[in-house]
Amino acid sequence: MKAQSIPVNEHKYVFISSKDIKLLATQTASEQKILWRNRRAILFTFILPVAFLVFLGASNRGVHLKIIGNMNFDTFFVPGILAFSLVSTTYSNLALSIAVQRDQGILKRIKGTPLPPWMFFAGKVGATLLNSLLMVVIVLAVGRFAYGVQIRVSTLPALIVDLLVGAACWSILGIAMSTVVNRAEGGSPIVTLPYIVLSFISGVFYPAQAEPAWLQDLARAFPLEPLARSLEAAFDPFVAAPAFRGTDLLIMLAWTAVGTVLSLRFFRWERKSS
Amino acid sequence: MHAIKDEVVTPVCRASDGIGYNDSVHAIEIKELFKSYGDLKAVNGLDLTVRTGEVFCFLGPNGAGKTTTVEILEGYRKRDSGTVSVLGYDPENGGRAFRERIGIMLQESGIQTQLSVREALDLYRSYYSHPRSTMELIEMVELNGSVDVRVEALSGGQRRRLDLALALAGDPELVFLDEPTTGFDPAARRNAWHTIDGLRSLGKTIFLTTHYMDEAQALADRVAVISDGQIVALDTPDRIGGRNTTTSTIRFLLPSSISVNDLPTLSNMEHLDADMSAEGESVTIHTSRPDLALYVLTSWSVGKNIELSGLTVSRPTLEDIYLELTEENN
Repeated sequence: MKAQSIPVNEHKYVFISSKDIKLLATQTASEQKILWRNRRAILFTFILPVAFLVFLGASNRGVHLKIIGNMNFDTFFVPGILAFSLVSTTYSNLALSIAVQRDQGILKRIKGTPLPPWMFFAGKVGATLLNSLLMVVIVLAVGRFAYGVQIRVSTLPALIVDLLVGAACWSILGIAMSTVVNRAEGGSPIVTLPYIVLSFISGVFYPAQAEPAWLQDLARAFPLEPLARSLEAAFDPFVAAPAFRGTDLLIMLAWTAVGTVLSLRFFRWERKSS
Repeated sequence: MHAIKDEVVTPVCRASDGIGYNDSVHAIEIKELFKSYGDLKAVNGLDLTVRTGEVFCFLGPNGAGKTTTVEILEGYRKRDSGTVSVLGYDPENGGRAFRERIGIMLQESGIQTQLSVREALDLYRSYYSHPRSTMELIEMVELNGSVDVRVEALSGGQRRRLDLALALAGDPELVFLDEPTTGFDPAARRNAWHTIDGLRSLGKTIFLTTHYMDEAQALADRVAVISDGQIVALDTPDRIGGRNTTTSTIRFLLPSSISVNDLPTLSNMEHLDADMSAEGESVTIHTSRPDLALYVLTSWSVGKNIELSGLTVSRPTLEDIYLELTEENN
């Protein structure tokens, strides 16, 4: 009977309390708000991939790609743009926003509050995943209704797993990359260049099969090519369901591990003193 | 049976109730603190105690170890050796419970510029278990007219006031204020002082770092001066560095008809330790007993019906003492 009079302690052994969940929601919502009020972030995160989707798609209507078994261009490039979008909403957005907030001393301020560090990252990644989900919906909707790309129910589990693994991999790589950037203004090219270069060699906008073998191998060592190929498999009507590509997923998971190690080792809450 | 049940149900208090808290009268205790960066000994065996409920002012030139010490107290830096207790916690591993009870206003740290004043306050309030209300915070720093203004549109002074409000969001017992009024206009500074005074009357402990001596004079219960990584003086603003016992300065102008030699001789009078110098009409006297010296002087001048115009008596300012203390050590 007495236990009922002390309800306060009942939640204390729960790993995440309801209060923490509320805090996490607040944190995510505020990160979302900050992103949507930042024009540059919207340009890079949303406008750029959608522009590629529209213009690249419009200029290749009815094209079949002989180099990859006469595949319809739309079937090839919609998953490519999906991969590209996922990288820009996760990696690019996280790396730049964390670098800017570190440079401005916002991270140091947050470190001085009771907000647990994991919750800070969870809020950022949460907001990022919401953006990714939005982009995935946009790209799939345009792909389906403007370009008539089939979204196969039988490969949907693979598609979802590919997207989740890709998002996890590129989110943690974004956090890792933010540690390299010292000053926010100089950060943009350092962050953007690697994934733009990878986009061009990884068969995202056009097939990589015409590239020399060494370049294909190089692309394959990084996690964009595996992401694009595994997404492509989910869309390709000639690939049998469930269209899971184990090696591609493993490459992405390996990079997730690398990103985690680098982030844990090098993450800083304060900018380097000059 | 009941007793056992109680033990099972209430093993410990909530984290925010402060495990490790002891009700000592000292908010901060530092003993034998050392911190080096390479060969540079930033903090070199520093001892310091800050009492609960006082406004403690920490003065020192740049590079004296001030920031390093404060950042060790705030939990941003790890010390090399020594013991540090802040509200009973070791700041290095006080964690969430420790951070619930302190507030930090850093010298330069940004606020998410895309948020409005209200949104920023609400965001940081959400990090604490028992925050102050948003309106109360806004009123404390007088940002009533800018509640819905984005941080990016605030003036430097307004942003700094929001900074102060954010430091107070969790209703902390101990507040670190690092040069809180830099960039304020005089009226805003007075208001900030008023806010800090108000915190003192609520029993909060304030650890204040500043370069403004008038601020230290106006606010501090005690002042510490750090130089070369050690405390070189610690006392009330009026007594620090022997300020209350050092010589005073008397200044006045003599009418041109009167020569300095006509003045009563103070130099050989007992207790006065007087030392007089004149430059044209202007006379300066240094003495440890300004009351006696004035008595002699004014008795003489009133008797002769001479006006000592522009008469002032001054003690060294806190700034004079501070400069003396920090120069000695450099």
